[in-house]
Amino acid sequence: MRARQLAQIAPVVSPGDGAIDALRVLTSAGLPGLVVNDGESFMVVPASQVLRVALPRYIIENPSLGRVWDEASADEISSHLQGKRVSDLVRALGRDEGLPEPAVDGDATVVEVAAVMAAAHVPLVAVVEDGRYIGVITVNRLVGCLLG
Amino acid sequence: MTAIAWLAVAIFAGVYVLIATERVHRVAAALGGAALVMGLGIVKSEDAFYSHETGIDWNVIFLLLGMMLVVGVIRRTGVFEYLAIRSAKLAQGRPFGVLVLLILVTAGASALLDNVTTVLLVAPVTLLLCDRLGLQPIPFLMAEALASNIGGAATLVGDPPNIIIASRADLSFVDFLVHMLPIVLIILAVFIVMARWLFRDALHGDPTRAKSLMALDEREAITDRPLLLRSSIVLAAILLGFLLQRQTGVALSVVALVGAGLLLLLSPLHASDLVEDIEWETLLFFIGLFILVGALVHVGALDRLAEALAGVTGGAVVPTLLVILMGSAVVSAVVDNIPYVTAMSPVVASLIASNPELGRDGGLWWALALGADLGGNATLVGASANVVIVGVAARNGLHITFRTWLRYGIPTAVMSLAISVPYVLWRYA
Repeated sequence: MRARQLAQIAPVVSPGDGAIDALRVLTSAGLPGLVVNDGESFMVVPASQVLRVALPRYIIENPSLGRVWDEASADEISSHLQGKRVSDLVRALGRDEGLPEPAVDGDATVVEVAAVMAAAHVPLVAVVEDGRYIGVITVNRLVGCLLG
Repeated sequence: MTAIAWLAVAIFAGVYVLIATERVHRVAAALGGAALVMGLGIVKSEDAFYSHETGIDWNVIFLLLGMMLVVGVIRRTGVFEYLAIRSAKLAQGRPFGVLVLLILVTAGASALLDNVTTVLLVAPVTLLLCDRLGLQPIPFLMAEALASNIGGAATLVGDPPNIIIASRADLSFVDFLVHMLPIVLIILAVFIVMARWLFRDALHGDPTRAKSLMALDEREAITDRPLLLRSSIVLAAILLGFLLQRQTGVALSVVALVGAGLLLLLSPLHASDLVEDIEWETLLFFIGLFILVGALVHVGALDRLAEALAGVTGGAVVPTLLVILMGSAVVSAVVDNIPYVTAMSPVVASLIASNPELGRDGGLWWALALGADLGGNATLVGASANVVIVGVAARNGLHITFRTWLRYGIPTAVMSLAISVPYVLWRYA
């Protein structure tokens, strides 16, 4: 099986888009991460890493402090994303420059896709054919395929 | 002095410069210097490892090690987060009330734990409280670091220089409570009054935000109640052991190690996790410094320094107390007070030996402790707690500049010194 056959349609956002709008796209599509395209290359922001922007740093470093946070105020967390852009999410990710771009050619094999996903530390990769984005492959779909 | 003595002085001075300028990691500088003095035969292994006068002070090392293990367990119970949130709620979110109670919690904890651990525990919860109250956190964080350095001066285990002084001068835990605690309480009280003026710009909160603070559930901060109970009992037993040291004759290091061992047995935590909490860097730094300073003692360089100091002060009590107190404060404001106190302890011992009046009630030792402990508040680099709090602030997007620190640190250090001078002269001159 090739990447083009595994790919599913998924929206792509750009760095200038609002973070909250982008995350709504992510949740409504049920994706494990946000596919970002800046016109030149693709980036993936894993959904779990969005929390790095949403949560105050002192909570991330001391998860036990999260226990004292009352549930009624939990929605304050999303206020940290107000006014933020997708580029802020990408920046907060602080990705290692040495990691490969999370994108594969439509002709890539399943193992090749798995290798890129593992090396780029992302839960989904973009599939590009002839310079045109055709969709994404999520880790769930890939593992399902590998398990047969 | 002999050529070998000058060589030892040159090595020590070189190490001190490397530590002060941070050109080399302080552990590498101290251990490198120790390797040099041993490699060159200035001190022999018997002197470095087995001599009480010129070797590694194992009492200090093991007391620190024991307390680090104890703190490693207690910090995981969440009790400090509980205390900080409870205090802020007691103050009903009023900014000055919150500030005062956080100062008291930090100073109190610092008297028993080391200052860096204390500020690392209190800073995150302070950020949470300030977030809830819509307050600017920087003044609160700085007040905690300043309070930590003040509170740490109160007890034998509160600040590493005190541990060194206690060991060199054979002072007990109770001696520190009798001589240091009263002056620290006065300084702390004045600091609190001063804080109202010092941090006045940050004490304007939105009263409606207090409701958001009161919604925090501090009981959730306690992660392991049985462990908290057990560690509180063990900590109380350790303190009792410290207090009864003169009667029992059991060294503080042994008390701390027995307490730590007991806690390791009673705690569900893995020993390997707790071992990770030990600040090996600090212990190795001490080991290197003890060997280096031992070399200076061995070659008689520190006796010469004591003679020179006695020449300046004429050996009289008042000028010597003032020179040691103020000199220590100035030096500790710009460089780490641990190597300073390690090197100065033999000098102070030598000064007392030449004029026993200087050692009446341990006067000169208290002058050294007060100067070294409190001088560090003046600048951002003067104390480890200051550096740590600046780091925590930076990771949370808050920038405390060197200049900002001076604005609050200098008045605090000057106030501490202004109170310490008459206290020392009144009690010991």
